[in-house]
Amino acid sequence: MKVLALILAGGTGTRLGVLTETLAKPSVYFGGKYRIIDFALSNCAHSQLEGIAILPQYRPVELISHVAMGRPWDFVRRTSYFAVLPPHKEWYQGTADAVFQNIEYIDYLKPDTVLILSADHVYLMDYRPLLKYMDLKNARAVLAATTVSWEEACRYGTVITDEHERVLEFQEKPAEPKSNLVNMGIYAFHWSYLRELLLEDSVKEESTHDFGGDIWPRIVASGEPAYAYRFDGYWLDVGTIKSFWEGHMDLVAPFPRLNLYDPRWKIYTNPADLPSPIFLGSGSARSTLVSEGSVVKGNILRSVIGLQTFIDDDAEVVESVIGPRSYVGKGAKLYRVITGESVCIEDGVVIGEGEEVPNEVAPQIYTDGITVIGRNATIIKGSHLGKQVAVQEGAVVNGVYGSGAFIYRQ
Amino acid sequence: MEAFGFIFAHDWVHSLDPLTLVRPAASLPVLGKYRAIDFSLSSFVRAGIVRIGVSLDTEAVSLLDHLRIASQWDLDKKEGGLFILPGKYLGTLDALFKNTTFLRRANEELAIIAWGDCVYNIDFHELIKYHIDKAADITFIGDPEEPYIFVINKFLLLEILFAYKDLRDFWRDAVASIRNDLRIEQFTTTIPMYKLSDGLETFYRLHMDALDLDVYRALTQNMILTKLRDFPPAKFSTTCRITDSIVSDGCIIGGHVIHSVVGRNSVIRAGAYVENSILMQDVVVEEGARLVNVIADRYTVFRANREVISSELTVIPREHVI
Repeated sequence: MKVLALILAGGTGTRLGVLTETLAKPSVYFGGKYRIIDFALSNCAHSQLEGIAILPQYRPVELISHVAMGRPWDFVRRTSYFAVLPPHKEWYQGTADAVFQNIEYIDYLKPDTVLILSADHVYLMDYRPLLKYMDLKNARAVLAATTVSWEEACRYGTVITDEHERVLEFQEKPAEPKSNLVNMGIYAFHWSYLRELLLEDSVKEESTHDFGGDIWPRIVASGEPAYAYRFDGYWLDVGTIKSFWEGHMDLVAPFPRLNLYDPRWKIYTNPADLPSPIFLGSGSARSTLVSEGSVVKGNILRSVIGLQTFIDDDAEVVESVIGPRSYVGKGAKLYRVITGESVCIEDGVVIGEGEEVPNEVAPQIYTDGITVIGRNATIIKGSHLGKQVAVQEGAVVNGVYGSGAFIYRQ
Repeated sequence: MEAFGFIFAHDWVHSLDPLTLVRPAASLPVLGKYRAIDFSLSSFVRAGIVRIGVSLDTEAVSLLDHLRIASQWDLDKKEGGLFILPGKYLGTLDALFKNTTFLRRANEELAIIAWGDCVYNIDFHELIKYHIDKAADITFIGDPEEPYIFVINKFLLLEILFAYKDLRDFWRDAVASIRNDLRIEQFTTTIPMYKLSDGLETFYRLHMDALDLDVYRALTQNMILTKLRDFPPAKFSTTCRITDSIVSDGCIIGGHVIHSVVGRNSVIRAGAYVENSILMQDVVVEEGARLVNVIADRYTVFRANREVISSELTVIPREHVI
């Protein structure tokens, strides 16, 4: 086999707060009908890779059932290999350990090159030019890198390169970044070389067994000529509530930077087989995406509506992301709300009005005035919730909660 | 009792021309994302009836393309599955008689025979139960002269086929001539049903009825399976207005849509106006174009500021540019 792609899908996504309470980050719905992992999987399908393995860990059940043995991505072929490899010996200690624990499987397929991907990113990318670049540079290791704003660079691994794009320095989440070129978590390695690195790393006691934290600094320190492949397309690390929300606002923009409508690069997902959305009465949707199976009677502005969601009469949904199978009741008003799936917001509820007050439990997670409602929660008739409120999964909320409240499940 | 299915899709009537010039009625695009045959196929599959034969005309390219990937209806099976039975059939009796091999090889005892141009969403378990409870030879749904669906014992079916193989129509000729010797029961149901080959009026009425949520749900609930095209959710831009309409995935809507059905991957640009119309898939309505009472077939384009306004229905054939 020439190329085997390994998709690391173990992320807990703690910075997505109540959205990932019982859901792995790659399983979180994105863009109405998709889940985050669909982007990496669709990129693999369009890049025509013949071997794909997904390595889940945290909350794997929903992820495995969504991936459905790769069928929606056309991975079920007689001449290609698809596998889901959850931990089978012990819990994966880090991204490198996840690959290390599956050496047996990779050896069995004998790939020349292993492509390491993350299931946490929203982007459209052809991996074939990256693999070609690796050949041209005659390198054993290549990472994909993109530029982000200087303020955000500290969230990532930053990369410093020379004029030939050779990686000179690698800093994992630096407080004072020296570069705004960041590691996208996409690596290509010659398998023989990576195998060596992993075996070496596995016995190092001080190692966290992480590609960004351990393997790459070691590659750079060893003087190995490794290169950065620059990617200048849209790339979103759905790491935080803010980036999750901004990613959706990008989609509703008149000319979105992420083009879901490119017929040559469709995003595939496990289909829900639902009828087309229907608009009844005076309902309206402006700068909005509405997914299949939805019924719209109310008014929606700059929002993304998930599958099979019901927006009832006179409801007002503004700059919000409504998860699938949810209900927004008559006259309810939602401003900057993100909900998980199957959330019931009863008649007359108002969410997202008031002062911006830091969240009482996790002020670093619930920012930018966004209120987040975990899946299966119910907001009872007439309740009022302020800004930056978090509602746990399955909570039943009744009453008035000011901004910054954290509402637990009873 | 176990059953297998048979769908008549070979009949190429021209009652909806120009829509039926390029496809048989069973292949007509309906409700934005489906084809007529999806409704009978899905009703079968949901009832666990997974050996299904479809008789179709050898020239029905559109239907063959639609059914190409059987996995979309879960019919890519080692035992049973979807059997495409192409031919030049003279009538329903001929379509069955020329496929007696398929009928004989089916292990199931009952045959449910459906017309592919009928749109309905039915629970076939109820029909089978009724058929058994009444100890009927044949149980049918719809018009006694021209049913939408009927159930018959496989061996009785084969007997009739061989006894009357020179006749054309299974129901109107063969069954009619032995009607008095058989126990024929009618299964009545209140679910909405539309036989599209009846004509344009039925086709249009189906779509306008579906703009009522109860009818739409009755027709589409519990999954109607169809050929996937993997489009993103429909996008509505700042300039759009939507009233009492169905808008499918992959659409980008900037104009004003009233009381209409818009098929997958269509574009209605800002300033365009669409009322009481049915747009099939991949239609483009450019800036300022106005459509009232229009049925636009696939890949039609309405150039900027063109008007197609009439009190009668206007049908625009496939790939036409107005």
